Amino acid sequence: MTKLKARRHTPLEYLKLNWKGLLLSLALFAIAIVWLCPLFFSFFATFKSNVEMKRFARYMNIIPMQWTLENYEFTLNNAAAPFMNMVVNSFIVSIATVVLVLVISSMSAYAYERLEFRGKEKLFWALFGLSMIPSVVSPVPQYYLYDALGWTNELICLITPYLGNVFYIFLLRNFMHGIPKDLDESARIDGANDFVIYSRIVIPCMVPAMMVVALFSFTGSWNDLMWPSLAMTSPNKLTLTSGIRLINDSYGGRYERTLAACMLAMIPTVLLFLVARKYFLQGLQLSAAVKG
Amino acid sequence: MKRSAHKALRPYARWIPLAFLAPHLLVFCCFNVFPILTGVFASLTKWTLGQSPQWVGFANYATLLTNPDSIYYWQLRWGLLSTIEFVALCVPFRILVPLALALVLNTKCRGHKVLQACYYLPSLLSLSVVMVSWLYMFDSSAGIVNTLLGLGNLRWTTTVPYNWIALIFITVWWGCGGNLIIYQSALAGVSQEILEAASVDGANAFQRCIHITIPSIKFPLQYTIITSVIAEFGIWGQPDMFNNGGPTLEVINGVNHQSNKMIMQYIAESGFGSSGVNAGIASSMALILGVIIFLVSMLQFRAMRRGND
Repeated sequence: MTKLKARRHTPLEYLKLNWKGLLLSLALFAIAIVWLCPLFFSFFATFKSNVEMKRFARYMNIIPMQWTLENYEFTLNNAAAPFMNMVVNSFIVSIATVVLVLVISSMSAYAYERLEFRGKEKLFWALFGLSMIPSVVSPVPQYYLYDALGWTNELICLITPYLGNVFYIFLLRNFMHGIPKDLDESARIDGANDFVIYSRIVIPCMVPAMMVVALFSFTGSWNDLMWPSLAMTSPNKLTLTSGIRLINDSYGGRYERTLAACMLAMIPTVLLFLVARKYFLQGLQLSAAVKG
Repeated sequence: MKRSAHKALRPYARWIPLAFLAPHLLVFCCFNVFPILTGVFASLTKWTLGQSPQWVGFANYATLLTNPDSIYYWQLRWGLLSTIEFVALCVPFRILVPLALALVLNTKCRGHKVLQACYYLPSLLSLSVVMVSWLYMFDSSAGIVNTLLGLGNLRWTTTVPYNWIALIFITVWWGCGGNLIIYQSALAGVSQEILEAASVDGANAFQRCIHITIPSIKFPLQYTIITSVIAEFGIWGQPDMFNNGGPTLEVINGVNHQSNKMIMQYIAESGFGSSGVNAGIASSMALILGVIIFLVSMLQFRAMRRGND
């Protein structure tokens, strides 16, 4: 038996045994290339000159004949749409959102999962129900509210709407439920109070779930288009995502330039995905399992 | 002895839960609940930015629903109509395309992990990046699609029904990833024993898929249908960046009826735009849309529950 298992197939035998599967994955790879071709085309277009872009119909060259970096130079130095400003704004907003969401949601999750108080479950489900109200209702009154507070064109109004997310508490609470209480209790006997237990014992055990929440809130905030586009009227205060909308309008069909901005703007989220792919997938699966 | 000492050390024990809850309750009430209440209030007023609101009762709703002389009456109708049309056309693809991919990827063919990442990738990008990329692809003169497919100077942004085809295609491309992952993880949990038993009984692959696989992932399917419907009802960015509403079909009362102008665009225009900013009408429109979304998802939840009994 073991000998049979250890024996390796020759390539031809392997092909004979698996030709169906191999054909399938070949087909899937072909489709994947078509699926991603807008990104390939866009990537190569950023290295083309305007002349070459216009002559595409004649030469059909996807890869530039003469590589140039002028589109990137233009994007980085264009004063009308200050690119580096947008990068900084995007990072400030996204990182602040992540940090605040993590602190606020994990504290709340700790209270719902580990502490006892009257009306706990009722409060939790009331919040959950309220968060089900369709979000299309809020942008207009939010804008008027921030105007009344004098916060329009301040980055803070891109952060605050995302801090109250109840779903993150739900995720963290579910995860915390799986952490044994023995540790908390022994720490409590040793005289630790709730804040110490929360910060020294529970949070270190929560790293995977916190990663999921951090990734979701980071990409959500980084990729948000509608609210920053509507709430921010000054180009200096736009984030990258909303800034590209402005760039697209102001470059008048010079796609090679706008696309250069796009290529730079997608780096952070794609990098995060490549580094933390496991957590992304886990998070998506969790979100369906929890709600479904 | 120890316990009483413990209590004496913690005289504020009652307030500890509140201390943990306070930050979230505060931001939730201020920035989630309060705006919604403000929206309900605003919908009952005439409110221009920078001025104080004037109470008008249900006049905004009356205008929106019954007054054909008002531009807002037409905006609401047209906006809702194209949005519902979009939801009806787009959601089936947003379910079926990732489902088909998940079914194939779940055969664990060679490189399925790389393939999963490839198909998921567009969902990581921001909508503005996606739109610029596709605007370039669909560009009428120097665009890739027209050149490679030999379509001449077809104007995707301004020709019905190509504007719709493009918008739906882009939305499916962008939104496919999340549903794909959800289906894949659900499919991994489908009982292999039942599948094998069925194939021993002579069921072919198609029959096994329809009668065993699909029913066993019913929950995630229903979940994704509901979330996709809710998401597509709020569509704004795609038409805004693609063609800002598309070709004009007719003009009534000086308002252009544009082919693919969605309700959120009208709401954004009347709530934020530089001309005729009117929080009252915009909030009323938003609330009507909110109620419609709420009712549609309730109907779906009920159908879901009935199907499971």
